[in-house]
Amino acid sequence: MDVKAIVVVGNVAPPAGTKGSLPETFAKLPLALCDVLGKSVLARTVQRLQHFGISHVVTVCDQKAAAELDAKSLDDFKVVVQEHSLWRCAESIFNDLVQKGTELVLVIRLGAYAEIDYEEFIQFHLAQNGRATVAVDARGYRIGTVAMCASRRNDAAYLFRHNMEEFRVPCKQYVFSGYVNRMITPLDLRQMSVDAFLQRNQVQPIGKEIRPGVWAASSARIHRRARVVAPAFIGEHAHVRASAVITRFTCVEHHAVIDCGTVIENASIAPYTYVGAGLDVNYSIVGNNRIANLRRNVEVEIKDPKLISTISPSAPVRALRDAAGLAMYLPKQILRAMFAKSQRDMPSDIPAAVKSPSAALQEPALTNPQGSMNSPEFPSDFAVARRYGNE
Amino acid sequence: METSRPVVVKRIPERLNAPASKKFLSEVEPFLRSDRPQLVFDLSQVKQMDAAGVDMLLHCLNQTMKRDGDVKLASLSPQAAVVLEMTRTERLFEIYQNSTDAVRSYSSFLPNAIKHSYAHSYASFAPSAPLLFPVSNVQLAVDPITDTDGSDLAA
Repeated sequence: MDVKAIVVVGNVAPPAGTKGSLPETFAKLPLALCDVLGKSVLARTVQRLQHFGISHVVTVCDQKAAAELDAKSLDDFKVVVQEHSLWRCAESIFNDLVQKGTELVLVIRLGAYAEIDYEEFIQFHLAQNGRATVAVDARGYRIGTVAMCASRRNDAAYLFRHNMEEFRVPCKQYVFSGYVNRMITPLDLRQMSVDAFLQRNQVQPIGKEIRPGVWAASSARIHRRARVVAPAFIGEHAHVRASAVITRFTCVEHHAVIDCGTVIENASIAPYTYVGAGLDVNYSIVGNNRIANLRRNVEVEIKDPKLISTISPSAPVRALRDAAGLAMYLPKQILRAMFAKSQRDMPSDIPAAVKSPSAALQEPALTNPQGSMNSPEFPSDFAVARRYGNE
Repeated sequence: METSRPVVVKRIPERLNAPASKKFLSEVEPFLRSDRPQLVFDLSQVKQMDAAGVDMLLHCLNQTMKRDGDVKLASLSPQAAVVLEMTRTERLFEIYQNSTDAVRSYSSFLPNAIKHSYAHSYASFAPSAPLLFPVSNVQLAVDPITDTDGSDLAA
């Protein structure tokens, strides 16, 4: 049987009258394109379809989302870029597939990540002999996957024109009880990583398990004084510098850089992200100059490159920048040594400090040891408790 | 016991980058130089904060500590809270839900100070650093306290 698939990424309108970040996005990008343990949800879904023999998959996404995909992904996922009306585009692709002789089309909106057994789903659809079958989770919510008979063009058109939310005629429901992550907020993205570490889903880290619970790609660079505590994942070409600590379900995706002394705890670091030195990032998702703090449920843009910045995806640009940094290092240090003001406070000499009047006592500390007792400002029944200790 | 010294409340600008930090610092510099300065910074309007802003706050804290004063933060915006948490500086300041609480903390008795310190937005998770209680206004009757090794703590 000729089965093909259309995957639609994004296209979630903000709820009317609301402000703030869109649902299913992080840093204005669909969550489906964010990497989880080395591979995006889109890539994992396409891989899953191919595993079940559905090799022809067409992906529809907008221009902004497509810009995040590399050339290989654009080719592999047969990405069709559409600036507006993604569903119209999906409808025309559906018609094209039908004309080429396809018998059944799976329409998937990402959206939710669901580990559906597509073979069983298609069997169910064929057994029901209906026009369309929609997959729902155990609670009855749709998970954005529909099997559509190719001969039912009008039903398909109706479905696409209503953003996959309404059907022309009541359709059959396939109840799926496996792993589903709805991927609505960045919290869901984080949860998916945690579930993968705990083996609650079939997501496998892209790398080698170098220690129990620690996965790292072969090209990842981990400084010998950096500490990686399981479970954790370090992606391809990621760089963890000295004294950094990576711990508790943290994913450092490919080409990310964690600078010296930074602690990353229960966080996801997006590809090509630089995290500055001496920071403390926990329970967050970082990427594209933004940090989503999941505890506070807030997404903040960081414009200071010393804290968080984005590294160029282009290898020559990165190499050029590194070379320029190296070349500038020595002149910079010389100039700093010659002209910069010293940051260190010079200690005053001890005799002068002892003879100078104390701010509290108004007279030199050593000339009147009982100063506080006789001072009119501080009566004799006044004592100062120290800040720490057993008071 | 009420303190007689004034508490200065300053509102931090919306963007706390290097130029804004410099300008703000020049505004608060006279207060920092006063005897035992008591400052409250209101961060409710902060939308963007970078390393220079954090540096400025630490500089203010350093200067006030040198003169036996203190800087307290109030009404942290989510943006400011995230940056302070990320740079590990939130544990150095006393943080209050609003400026009134922060001002009151300078004159409040110790148990109240403890209550207010816990009331701020970090109460949802355990503080990793010991809380800094404002004990400078504590008045204890009786003799000067001596430590276990016999040294005078009041000295």
